[in-house]
Amino acid sequence: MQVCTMFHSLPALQAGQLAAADYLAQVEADPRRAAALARARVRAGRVNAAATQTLSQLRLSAGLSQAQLAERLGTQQPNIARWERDPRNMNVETIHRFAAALGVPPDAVFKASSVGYGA
Amino acid sequence: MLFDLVILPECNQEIAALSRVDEEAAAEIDLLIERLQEDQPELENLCIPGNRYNYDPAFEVKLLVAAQKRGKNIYLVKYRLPDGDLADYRLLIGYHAQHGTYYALQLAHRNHSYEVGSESFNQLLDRYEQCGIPTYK
Repeated sequence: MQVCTMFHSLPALQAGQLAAADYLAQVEADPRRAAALARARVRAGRVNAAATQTLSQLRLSAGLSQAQLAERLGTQQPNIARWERDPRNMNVETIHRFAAALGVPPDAVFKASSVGYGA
Repeated sequence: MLFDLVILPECNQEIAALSRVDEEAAAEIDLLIERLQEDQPELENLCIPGNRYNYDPAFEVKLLVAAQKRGKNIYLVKYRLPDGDLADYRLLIGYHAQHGTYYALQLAHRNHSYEVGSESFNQLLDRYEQCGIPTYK
């Protein structure tokens, strides 16, 4: 990753251009738009009654971005992305912490981790 | 290689204007941007056209053929709603392959016409060029 960083050269942003992270911070700073975005996440997290939610859908149902969940867990956003991509990387302690941060029973996270990403 | 997503000020303003008349539609676009920003592998593979039903939320990527014929690397990214329908608005994204940078160039409604020579199509190409994205032969 260090090597990749050395060779990565983001061109300088032109006037008014925003990196996506800064754009989203701007959205979150607007209470109206932040609330609308949280509602959109909740809608995106819904599944059919017969289906099991994935980890990302559980998070979305709580109205959270990966960055927001990472803050609740005291970790970094890329770790959330990694776990959602491959839940097999999660140990039992992490699953319980995930459940607590989302306000769901641990069983929901166990089931989601067995569904995996993209199911 | 790390990949980046940059939002043009014009596109930013278009989404902000949409949020004033349709809060939920603008939020769907914000969620799409958030999803792309969160996951590097998705950005890495974004320029490979095809359906992305496997992602949460699901989205689709298609080449904008009229632009591609003019050497402009522009894609349509559409967000798929939980009920399976496509969202009304989508992003037009330019890709700078040498830098691994995607530029959100324009917000467009699903009924928007990408007619060659139209004002909005020319505007899209202008924004692409202003970003310094190469025109490919």
